[in-house]
Amino acid sequence: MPYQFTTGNIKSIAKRLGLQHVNSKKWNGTDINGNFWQTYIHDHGDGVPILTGTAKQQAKQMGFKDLEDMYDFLINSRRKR
Amino acid sequence: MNLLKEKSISIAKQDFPNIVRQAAKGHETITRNFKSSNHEKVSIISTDIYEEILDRGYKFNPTIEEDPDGHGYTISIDELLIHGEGPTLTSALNDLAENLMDYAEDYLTRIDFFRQIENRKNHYPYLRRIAKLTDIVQVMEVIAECHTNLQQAILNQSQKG
Repeated sequence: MPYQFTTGNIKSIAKRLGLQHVNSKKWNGTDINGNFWQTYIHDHGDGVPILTGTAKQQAKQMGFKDLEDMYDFLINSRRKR
Repeated sequence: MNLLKEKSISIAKQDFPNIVRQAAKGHETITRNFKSSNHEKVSIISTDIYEEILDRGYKFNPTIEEDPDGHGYTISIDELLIHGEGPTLTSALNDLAENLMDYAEDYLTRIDFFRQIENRKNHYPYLRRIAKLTDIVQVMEVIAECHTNLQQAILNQSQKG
């Protein structure tokens, strides 16, 4: 099943993981387990779809197994990781 | 057989001008603080030789993913957990090069921090390669050195001026 994410989705995931907006594209930070994560988000507006290849990389960079795992985190607001 | 000789810091300090001359010729000197419980060693080695080792041993392996809906490209370097994106291959490579330069600067500034992170401690040699480069075109060329499609993208860009 293909998963589609928007810029707003990725920003919300990054914020929930404790990442900070460091500069124009870079977000990074340390989560509650002490792991450091860093990703890059082109902010062209919250509703803009993310390229599939970019979403895959963002998932890896934020410690998710794959897009499905990141999507599950997005829709399950109680999930910690 | 151990061809490498270690010198204490105090001996190395006295002999430092000679050690630097020898290093420039290709001889490596290893120094160590024998009085400290910390047994870490430091090599004094020619920068040319050091960079040659890095250039040969730490080549980038970029992966290109074209968006199925035709909206652009993502280029990633998995060994560094980094990517770039753009509507064209060249713009994605440019974005990746920008991110890589930014990461190299941050990493080398906070190396004590990054060397403690399990999945980032091995990024140093790649980022040290980037650190010596002076402009973004050189960074793009280094990323593309093992990838003919990316080399072609750079060539097309330079021909367009």
